[in-house]
Amino acid sequence: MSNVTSVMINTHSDAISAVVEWFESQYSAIGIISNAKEWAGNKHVQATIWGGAYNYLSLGDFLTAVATAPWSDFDKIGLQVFVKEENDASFAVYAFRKEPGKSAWIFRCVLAAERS
Amino acid sequence: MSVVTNVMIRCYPLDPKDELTGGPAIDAINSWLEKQNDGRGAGFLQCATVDLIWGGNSAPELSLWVGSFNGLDVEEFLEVVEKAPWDRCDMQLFLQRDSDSTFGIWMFLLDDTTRIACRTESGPVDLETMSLACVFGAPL
Repeated sequence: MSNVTSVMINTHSDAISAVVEWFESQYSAIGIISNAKEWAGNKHVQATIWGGAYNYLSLGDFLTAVATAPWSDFDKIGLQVFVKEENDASFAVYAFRKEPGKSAWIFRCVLAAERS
Repeated sequence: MSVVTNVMIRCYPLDPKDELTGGPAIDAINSWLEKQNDGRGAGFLQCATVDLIWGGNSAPELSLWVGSFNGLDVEEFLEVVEKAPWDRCDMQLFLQRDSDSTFGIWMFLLDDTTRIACRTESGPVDLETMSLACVFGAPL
């Protein structure tokens, strides 16, 4: 029996290493799917996208690992996390946002997944 | 000078016979890409989840078609994607233009305000009543 969650992380930041280490310690390595040798088209991909599929991933622990990685303010603007759980019909998107009138960054779901 | 657009299209696991070609919808998009640049082609979309670059401890239960294209006419590309012969409308198009710091997301909507991804596992999908619209990020 399986319960697969697919994740992708779009970031140029070195802070991703904290998330990579978390995956390696808890599950297994996450790959870089934007490998220029594998990515099609007529130009090298202008993004760094990490991706993996995990059986029985703890979504809360994963999102906490991402939220607490040592991002800089600039990193937070460009970070996107895509999550598709077992019964989702689409990816949800998580990103850092600032609430109106507040200075603190909040990591939150900015696009919910559709359910099958 | 190059103006690069990164593209990802997420759809569902394919019939094994379509795994390498992507089925009719991806075929239609790749055929259009092949005719770009005065027939010299603009590359094609490739299935990232078939290659050995996806991490984790399980196979991803989806297919993800990716490519980066120089000088892509994004408006025309969106029309091609919208008119492609999808057999399900719960696909997602992730598109990052040269000036974008993140991917925008396009999905099929029933109208301008109702976000509905078709949940039918099989059978005909009436895409005539739906349109591909930006649901996240900056629309064109």
